Amino acid sequence: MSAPESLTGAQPQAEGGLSTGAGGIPVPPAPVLLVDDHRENLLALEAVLLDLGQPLVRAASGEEALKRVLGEDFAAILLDVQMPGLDGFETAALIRQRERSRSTPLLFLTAINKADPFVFKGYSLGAVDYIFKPFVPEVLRAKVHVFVELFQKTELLRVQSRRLAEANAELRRSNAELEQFAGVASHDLREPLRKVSAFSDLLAERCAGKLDDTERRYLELITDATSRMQSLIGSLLEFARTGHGPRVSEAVPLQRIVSRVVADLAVPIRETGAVVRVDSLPLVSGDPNLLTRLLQNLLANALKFHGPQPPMVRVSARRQGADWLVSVKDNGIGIDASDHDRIFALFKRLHGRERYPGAGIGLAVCRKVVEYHQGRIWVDSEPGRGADFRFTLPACEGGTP
Amino acid sequence: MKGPVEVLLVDDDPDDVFLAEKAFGILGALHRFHCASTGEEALELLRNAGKPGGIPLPDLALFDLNLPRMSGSELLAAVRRDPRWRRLPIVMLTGSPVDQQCLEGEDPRVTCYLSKPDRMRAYYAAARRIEAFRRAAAKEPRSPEVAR
Repeated sequence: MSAPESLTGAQPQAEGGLSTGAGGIPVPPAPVLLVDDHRENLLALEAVLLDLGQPLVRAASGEEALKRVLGEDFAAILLDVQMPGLDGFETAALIRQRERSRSTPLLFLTAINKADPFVFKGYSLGAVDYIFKPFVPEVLRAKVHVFVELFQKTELLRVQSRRLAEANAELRRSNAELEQFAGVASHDLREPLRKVSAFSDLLAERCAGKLDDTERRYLELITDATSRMQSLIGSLLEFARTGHGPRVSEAVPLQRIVSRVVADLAVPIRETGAVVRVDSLPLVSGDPNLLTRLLQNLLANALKFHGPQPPMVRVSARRQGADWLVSVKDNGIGIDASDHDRIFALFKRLHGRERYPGAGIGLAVCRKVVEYHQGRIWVDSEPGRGADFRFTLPACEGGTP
Repeated sequence: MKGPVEVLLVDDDPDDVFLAEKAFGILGALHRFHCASTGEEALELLRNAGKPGGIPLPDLALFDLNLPRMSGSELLAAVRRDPRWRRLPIVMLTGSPVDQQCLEGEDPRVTCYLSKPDRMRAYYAAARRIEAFRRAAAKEPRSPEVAR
């Protein structure tokens, strides 16, 4: 077999075993240590194992092997049993004593010590295999290949778990930063706005009678814009904080949540002449405050985006595997199919503020709440034919509709 | 007729001091403000209150929660440690509607919490509420049967 051939031959094997780990982590090399006092044996081993595509490290004695394992991790160590100086068994015992090489797979090779007691001794020293020479090259290669893969997988896992730990630390840091930002925003951004409102009012009071209609209108516009900014900051904070508190997962009776939300919406319900029908709703597992917010937003939207007829809203649920599929359906103005995804984005508004006021945060919060509960939210709707907002929530054991 | 209501106002924001004075200005009772911009300064004013050269004994105190260095809650705790101010009506003011729990362990009859209003109408309403709170607190018996 010529060198280039053996190299190309190595490719599929290496790739067939492992390519890259999750997150594009390159597969680490898996060096194999070959220990034999005969140079020609080492050469023969190398020829057999070359196709693995891994670094092959030679040691001509047990002593040299020990030196090697001190400084490097090996996927496997192939040990000749019969050697001058430290023999294979003694070398194995010493390798086993060292922390770094305690669990490195050892494979004994022997042409002489084939009797059972030797085999037994080899295994009792922690060998994973005891191979008689002459060996079948393919079999040896296949055996070492198993350990090469194991080594690479272990290394990949090590790298991945380190990265995961780093990512977790980073996440904790950024959560803390977000909280800090939220705190700063809630106080420091609102503070000047309060002043703009209050002093605009004072100006209006002082100039009462002196201002004409236009001037009064300008002052009103200032205070209106300011309170809009106030509520925008409030909503943004709410969005940022959604799901960032301590994780809560308890049995939540959706029925009670919806009843409370409907009671809270008594004013818009009366004003729009809406009919809200609530079917029998189940127990779900989750955070009651977040779920209240979710249903508040959806029901408020159902009441807000109504057409010429009074709103008809229906809340229902049906079981879907381990989840409940909840639906909040209205007979309102509906949503064009091209907007079905966009409406869940932050600050996305489809209508002018004059007609349908709002910051464009409600549905973004809804999506965040549902995703926090490992669920999915979407809308079935056509313009003029109402909207059916659907989401899934994990069922709670013993929950019945 | 009783004299003016002596108010200790602790806020590092001069705009807020101005707005508070404006808000209380519409109430019938005459409120006289004594201002400090830090907790340390407020404690100094209280130490000499009622003494020659000091401010008059306060009938009411308003503390901004968000003070530089010593916070409003720390100031509250420090003030309450002095037996003279155990029953002083204190209103904690905050710019953001969060963390009510800062009043834990405080008697709600003499300590209350209020978020700073943004509209003048709300300022006037807050001033009226604070005045009602002060009067109710002033009528409290001085016995130490403080519940929690």
